Amino acid sequence: MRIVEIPLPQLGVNDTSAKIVEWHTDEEKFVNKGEIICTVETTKSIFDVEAPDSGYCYFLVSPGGEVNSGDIISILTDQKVNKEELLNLYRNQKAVEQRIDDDEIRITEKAKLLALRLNIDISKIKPDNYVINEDAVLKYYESLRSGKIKTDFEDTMDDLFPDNRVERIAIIGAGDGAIQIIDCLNKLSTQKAVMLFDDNKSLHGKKVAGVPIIGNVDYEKISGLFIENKFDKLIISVSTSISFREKAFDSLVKLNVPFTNVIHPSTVIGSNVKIGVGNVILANCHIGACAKISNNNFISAYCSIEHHNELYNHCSFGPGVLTSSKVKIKDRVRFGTGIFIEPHITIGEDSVIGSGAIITKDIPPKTMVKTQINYIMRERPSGA
Amino acid sequence: MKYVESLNFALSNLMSTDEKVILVGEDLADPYGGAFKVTKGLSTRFPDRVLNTPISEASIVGMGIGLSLRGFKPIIEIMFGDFLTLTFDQILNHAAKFYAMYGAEIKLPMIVRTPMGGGRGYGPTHSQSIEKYFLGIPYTRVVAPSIFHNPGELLIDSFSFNLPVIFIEHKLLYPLNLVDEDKEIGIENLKDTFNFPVVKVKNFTNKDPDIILITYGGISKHIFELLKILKTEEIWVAVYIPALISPIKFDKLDDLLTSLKICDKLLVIEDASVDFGWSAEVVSRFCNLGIHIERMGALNTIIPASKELEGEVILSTKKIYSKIMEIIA
Repeated sequence: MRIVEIPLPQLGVNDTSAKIVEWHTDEEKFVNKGEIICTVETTKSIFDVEAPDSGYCYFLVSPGGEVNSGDIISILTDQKVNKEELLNLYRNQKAVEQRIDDDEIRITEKAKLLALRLNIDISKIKPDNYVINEDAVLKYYESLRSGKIKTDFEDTMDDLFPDNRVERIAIIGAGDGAIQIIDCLNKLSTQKAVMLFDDNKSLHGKKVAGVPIIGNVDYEKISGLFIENKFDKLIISVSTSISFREKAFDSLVKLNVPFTNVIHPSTVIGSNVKIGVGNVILANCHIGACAKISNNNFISAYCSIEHHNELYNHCSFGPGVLTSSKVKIKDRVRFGTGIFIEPHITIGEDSVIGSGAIITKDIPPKTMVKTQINYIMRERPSGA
Repeated sequence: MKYVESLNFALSNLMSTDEKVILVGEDLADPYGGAFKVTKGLSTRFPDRVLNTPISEASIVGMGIGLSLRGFKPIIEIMFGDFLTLTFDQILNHAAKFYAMYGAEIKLPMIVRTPMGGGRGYGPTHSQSIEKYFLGIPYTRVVAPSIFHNPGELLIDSFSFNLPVIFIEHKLLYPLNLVDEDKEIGIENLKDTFNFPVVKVKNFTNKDPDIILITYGGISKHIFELLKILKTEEIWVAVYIPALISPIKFDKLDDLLTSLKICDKLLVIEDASVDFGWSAEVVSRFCNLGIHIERMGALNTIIPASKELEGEVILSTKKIYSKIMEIIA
C-alpha cells in the first residue's frame, strides 16, 4: 500500500505553528490532487492546505489542534482501509525507519577530534550501544599505551595497515639487543614489538618482556609471516656479529620484507639528517645536522655521530663512541666502547676499532685498531 | 513565559506602580498594540499614558528627553531598530550630554526600546542589527536581553541608571519561551561590575570546556539550540551572555577569566555585520591573554528579503557550529 504524508506547510514568515480550523473532506473519502482538504489559522491569517496527491484521506489531527510546521497532519493511501489498522501500519513503518537510522554507528565529533589528535584509527574501537564517544577513544588510547591490547598473533591479523596505526615490529634475535629494543619501543606510541625470532630452539615459546619468541631466523618463514600481515616491519637486534646482521638484512630485503628504524625518544637528531632503514639508535645518542646514516647499523647508548658524518651499512657501535665532524665510516665497521674520532677521518670497511681508541688518522680497510693501555694493578694495602 | 509577555508584563507593572511612566511611539495603542504586540492592552488600561505618535522618530525621542527632564519616566518604542538612525542626533548630541554638561545634577531616565535583527525576510531596512552605532556613547547604556535573561526585569532595572538607555530586543526572540532552567543545559546567573546580569550557560558538568563563547541578545536563540546539538557531539561549550553590552563591564568577571585559563579558545559572536562591531571591542579586552580568539557576525552587506539569500548573510546555528568545529579542530 502506498502512503503519502501531508505535512503542515510553513505559512508565512511570522509563524512556526498553526491551528487546524476544519477539514473540508470526510475521513476515508477519496480526494483528488490539488483539492482543498483543510483550513488552518495562524496569528495573522487563515490558509488552505491542498492535497499533494490523490488518495483516501485519513486525519491525524482534530479540528482545534495546534501543530508545528512540518508535522504530519494527514495521510493519503491508495486503498480504503480500516483507520486503526492503517495507523498501526504507519507507526510500525516509522519505527522501522527509526531503527534503521539508530543501527548506524554514531561517532561523536569529540571522538573524531580526539582520534585525530591521538593518531588513533577509530575503526578499531568497539562501539558501545552503537556510539563511539570520547570515553571510548580515551580508554582505547590508554589500553594501547599500557599494552593491554594484545600484542600476540590474534590481534595482528589485520587485513589492512593504515598509516595512523601503531607499527608492529618483528625483532630478529632475542638476546640482550632485543631487550634494549623492546625497552625502547615501550617508550614509543608509534611502534610496538609483536614477535621475536631466534635460532636458539630452547627459547621458542618463551617471551622477552611479554613479546613471544616464535621460531628460528628462517628467512622464508619470516617473509611468509609478513605476507600474512602478522607484522609490519623488521629490525635486527644482534649487534655482536656483523656478518649475521649483513646476511639477515640482505636476504630479507631481497624477499621484500621491509625494515624499520628504532630510535630511542631521548636521542637528539639534528636538522637535515638522512637515515636509511634497519638502524637501531639507543638512548641519549646524538646525530648531528646533515649526517647521513645508511642501513642496518646498531648504535648503542651515548654515541655521538657528529654533523656531516657519513655512516655506511651494517656497522655496530658500543656505548660512548664520539665522532667529530665530517667523519666517514664505511661498511661493516665494528666499534668497542669509549672511542673518540678526530674530524675528517675515514675508517675503511671491515675494520674493528677497539675500546678506548682515539683515532687521529685515516684507518685503511680491514684494519684492527687496538689501544694499548698499561694498567698498574696491585693489591690494596690492608687496613686502608 | 514568553519574551514578549515578560516585556508586556513589566510595562504594565511599571505603569501601575509609577504614574510617571509614559509610553511613546508609533501604533502602540490597542487594538494593534505595537508591531510586535509588546504594548498590547496597555492603552486600554492606561489610556492617558500610552501616546500614539506620527512617524517622527527624532521628535519622539526629543519628546522623551523633555518628559524625562521634567520628571517623567518615558519609555519610547521605535518600531524597527533600523529607524533608530533618525534618533541619533537626539541621543548623541542631546540625551547623552545633559548629565555631564550640567555637572552630574541632571537625571535623564529614558528607555528607547526597539527590535533589531533579521531572519524574518523583512529585507534590507527592517532586518538590521545597528546597535553598534550606539555603543560606546558616554553617559548612555545599551541593554540587550537574551532568552536566558528576564527582559521585563531588565527593563525595570534600566531606569536605575538615570541615564538614556537603548534597549535592544531581537525580533526572533519575541515568541520564544524564556529559558531559566533546562535539563540538558546549566544556567548560572553572574553579575557584571554594574551589577547587571551576565548569564553563563554551558552544556557540561565536571568537564573542561573545549571553547568559550561570548555573545548577546538574539544569538541566544542559536546558542540554546547549539548547546544541545554540541552536547550530543561531546563538544563542551560555556557561553557568557551579558545583558549590558555598552559599556563593557563583564571583562573582569572572575568566572570568565578562570574559564579562559582552563580553555584557551574564545569565540565572540554578534548578530550585526561583523566589521567594526561589538565583537571587536570585546576581543580587545582579552587579546593580551595570549589565547586563540576569533569573532564572527553577519556578512558586511545588506540583508536580502529572500529567505534563502538572507540566510547566507546573517548568522545561523549551523554557521556557528561550523565555526566552533573549525576553531577546536
